Amino acid sequence: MRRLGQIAWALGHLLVVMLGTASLVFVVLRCSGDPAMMVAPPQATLDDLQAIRRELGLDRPMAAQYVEFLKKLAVGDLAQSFRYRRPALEVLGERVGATVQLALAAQLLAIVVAIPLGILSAIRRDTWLDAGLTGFVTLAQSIPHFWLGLMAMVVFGVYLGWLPTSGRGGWSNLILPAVTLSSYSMASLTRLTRSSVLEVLSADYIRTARAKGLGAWPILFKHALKNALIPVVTLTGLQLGVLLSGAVVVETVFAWPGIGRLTIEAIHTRDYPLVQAGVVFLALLFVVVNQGVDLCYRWLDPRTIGPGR
Amino acid sequence: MTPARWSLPAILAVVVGIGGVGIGGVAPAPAAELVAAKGTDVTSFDPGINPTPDAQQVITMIYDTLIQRDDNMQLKPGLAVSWQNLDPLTWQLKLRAGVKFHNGEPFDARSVKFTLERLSTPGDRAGGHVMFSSFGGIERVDAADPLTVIVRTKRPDPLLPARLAQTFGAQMIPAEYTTKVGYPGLAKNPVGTGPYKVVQWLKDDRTILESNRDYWGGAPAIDRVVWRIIPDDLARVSALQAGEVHVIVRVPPDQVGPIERRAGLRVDRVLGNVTNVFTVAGIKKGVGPLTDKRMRQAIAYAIDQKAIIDNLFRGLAAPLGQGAPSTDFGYNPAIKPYPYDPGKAKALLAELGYKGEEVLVRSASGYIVNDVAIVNATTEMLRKVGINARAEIVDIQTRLEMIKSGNLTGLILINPQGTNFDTDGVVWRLMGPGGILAVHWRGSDPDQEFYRLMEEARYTVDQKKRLQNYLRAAEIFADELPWIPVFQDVATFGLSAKVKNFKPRPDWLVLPQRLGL
Repeated sequence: MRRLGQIAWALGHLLVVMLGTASLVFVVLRCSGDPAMMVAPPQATLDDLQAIRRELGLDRPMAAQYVEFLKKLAVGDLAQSFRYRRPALEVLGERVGATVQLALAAQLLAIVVAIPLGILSAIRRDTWLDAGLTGFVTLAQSIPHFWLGLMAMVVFGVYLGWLPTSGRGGWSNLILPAVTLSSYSMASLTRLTRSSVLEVLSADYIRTARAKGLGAWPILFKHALKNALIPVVTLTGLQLGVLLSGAVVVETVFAWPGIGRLTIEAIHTRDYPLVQAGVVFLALLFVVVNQGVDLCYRWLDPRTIGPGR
Repeated sequence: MTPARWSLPAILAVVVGIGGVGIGGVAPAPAAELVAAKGTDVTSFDPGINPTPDAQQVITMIYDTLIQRDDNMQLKPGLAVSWQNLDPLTWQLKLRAGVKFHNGEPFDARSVKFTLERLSTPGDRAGGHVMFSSFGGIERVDAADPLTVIVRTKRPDPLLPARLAQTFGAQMIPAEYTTKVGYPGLAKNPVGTGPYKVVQWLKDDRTILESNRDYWGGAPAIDRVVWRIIPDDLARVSALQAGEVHVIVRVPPDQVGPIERRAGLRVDRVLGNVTNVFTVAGIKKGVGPLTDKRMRQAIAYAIDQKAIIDNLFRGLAAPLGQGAPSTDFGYNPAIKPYPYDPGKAKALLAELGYKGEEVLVRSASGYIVNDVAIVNATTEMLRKVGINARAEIVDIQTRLEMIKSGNLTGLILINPQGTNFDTDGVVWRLMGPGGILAVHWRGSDPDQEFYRLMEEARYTVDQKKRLQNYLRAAEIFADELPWIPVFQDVATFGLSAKVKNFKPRPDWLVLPQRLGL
């Protein structure tokens, strides 16, 4: 019964967030500009613009447009894209694969690199290696994606000729955008792993293990890591949401045909239905990932479900 | 399954598997494949709903217009071999015989009637096209015989041939096929008479086209064309430098040097049909110094066009002295740009008794190349001669409201571009009846000489008479300065030395059917 209640609460929460997001986007978009100008060819007159507004349903009062928007939203219809003249969800759906592929590749890369580096940094605390890694991590966290991406493109694509400069295709096309996109989360994960391992290593039960005469590696791998990685899992999950929604810059720089780029273009061209679909989809993704992380966390660390909960 | 048991290979398989990975990375292209890159994609293959220049790159490869433009933008036969006025309201078009659409449907008078009837019907009743502004003046279209079409216009329309040549939407579509599949069907699976057919469209990534061996203009030398979409300027340049693409459209001014310094690459350029001007808002309002033409002339003298062109565009632009670009019919070559003359500007300000009223110099950010820099530079130049100028950067919507509203005064940066290479399509489209700039200046009012000249030229089929009118109108314009010209764009194309027979065009189009590798 309690579990059912929790699920109902989570679903209710999801609905409120989605409705709030959709409504906010609806209102903000309509204050942002006239889509007719973007749909019309250069020679359009004021009458032509009015005709286009009529066709797109933008000549009606905002309240009427909002009611219709909600009605359609309730049945999962996010209307037709102004520019593509096809259902916004369909246009969006074609791009999900590219975004998910890039985000997962970046996430995987971040995990594979960051966790060993974080552990290494912790067990070699206060050595030159630790200092070097900390410096590297700080750098990776502060370099903006667009700069890193362009530099990587120029070095590995133009000068060395090892990798394609942009576009989506085979494995080789994935490397530069994935590395660029992963840089920030790689750095955060390394830092978190380091501090978390350090914290656990100073805990009482580790001291007890040492006192029992266990070697350093068994202590690290059998006892310390299990606990040290709990916050790392949480951060990884949260960052997946960020990677999925935050790939806008990387997608643009590397001409990667994903949702981020689609949404940005839709914003530039005032394609209201497409922006709405994009934002609602990303919000949904974010909420679902966060809920997933929440569930994962409870499962990894049973203490968080304490007796009173 | 616990997370620990997720094997690495399994995860890798998921990552690569998603979305299906197809086309290879840096594999060399076959000999007769041209790879070109531009910034944005088509949104549909229906020619009627693609109003951007980038979209036209692909649309013009698939479909043909009745009339075409040569490299100097002069009209030449396309699907129509000749056109003439039977009377001021009637045009007769003779069509090319033996032309077939990609699906085998013959191209004839029926196709023309179908296409033009669609374009002259408001878009909301004809598949959502946005071309009514160009073709709404058509009253009826009749097929006299399979190869003769009679087009009757509501008023005399000297621009009809230019409209039929515009790459924005005037392409002929197949009547039978479109009736069967509907406009959305055509948009998805395009069928034209053009030199190329679409093989695959990976939206916002690439469009792959193969040559139409039966093309009426002769089979293209290049069998396959891949149009890649690379939105970032530098990424587009990098792709050219890395040898991944043969042609890029729109080279950013600061990248021309790096491209030209690399062996095997070059940048071709030609004056484009886009002008960059400050439109003066609220002249008619009668308040503020801008209502006096001497003030507007002082501003023109105070703007150092050459400095803007050299410093912001690395010389890739041309000084401008009138509303229409030099590529368009009606451009007056006798009118020279106002020279940079701060002394003259100061003298004019003294003469009109300028008391230091504020002059706002406005633009949106990122709407026009270097817009903020142009506005800031201009503001400084105006301040230098003693004009109390202030730069104001607004969002695109506010900019549009300002342009339409007659209540504001100040300068607003705009970059008009015509689609029909005629003064009407640039100046009168914006300032004439129904135009979005018609509220600002007396010249747009029916009792004015400028209005009479422009309206007469709009509805007179005698081209000589039209030219006379435009030459005179350009003189009034340059004296009155409802727009203060800044410069004319240069169209730039980055090219690999492998590309043969390329000729840069003012309309920015790349025509792969004419190229060789």
